[in-house]
Amino acid sequence: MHLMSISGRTGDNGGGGSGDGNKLGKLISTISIPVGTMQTGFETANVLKAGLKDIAIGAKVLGKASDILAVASIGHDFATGTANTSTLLNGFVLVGGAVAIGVIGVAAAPWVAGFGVVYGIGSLIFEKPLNNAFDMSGSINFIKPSN
Amino acid sequence: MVFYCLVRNDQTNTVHARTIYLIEIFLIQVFFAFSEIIIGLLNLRFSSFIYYIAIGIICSILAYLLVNKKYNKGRGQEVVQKYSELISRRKVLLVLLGISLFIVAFIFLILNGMLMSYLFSLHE
Repeated sequence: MHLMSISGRTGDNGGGGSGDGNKLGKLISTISIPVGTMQTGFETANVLKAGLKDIAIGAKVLGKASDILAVASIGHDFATGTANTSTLLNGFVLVGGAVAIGVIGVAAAPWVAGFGVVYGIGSLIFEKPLNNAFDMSGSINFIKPSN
Repeated sequence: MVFYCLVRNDQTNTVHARTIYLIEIFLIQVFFAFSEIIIGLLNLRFSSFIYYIAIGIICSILAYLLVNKKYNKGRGQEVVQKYSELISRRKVLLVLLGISLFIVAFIFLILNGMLMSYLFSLHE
């Protein structure tokens, strides 16, 4: 079904007009927009609202996962005696990211995720130099490293 | 109210949802900090990271259940009403208090980690 369509003759000037009318009808029906493609403002708002809800849920899941990972990594490092400056920094960044999503809004989620990836790659390189530069493992661990 | 003041209104009608989310994030840290004391007291030395993630998930579920029980829709409207009556200076104070709460929760988590480590050392 089409929004615009022309059927029959558009002009009747004897025998030759019917062919032009059919061609014009076919042309318009080819370039016409099917009904349902264009949505009203209300329908569009509903679609966008659903999309925004999905993004908000995604951001919440990302933030909670970040927080759980932060607390778990802190707990693990202290339990195995491997806690150091990098542990505290990792925890601070993860919790900070989770809080930023809540405070700023879902718009912060992509930035937090992007920063997390960059920080994760950076920490692979800078973790050991950081721990060597600010070594506090002796003062915050009471047990010897188990692994 | 403290957490509600922290949340920025980004015109997406997610202010209440994000307030609940922030309370949950705060509670996860506090619950995990207490879990560290229990782990230390019971001398449960988990070497695998998976166990700590499992404890974190349990804390998250507990926080979710507690917050959804306390912060229902009626409570949300009450908070909005109280917020509209606040003067701007008090709002700033509440924002600072909210940020301080998160910092204190994080320090509490670290201190309890050290306490857990100390409790483990007593069993060595």
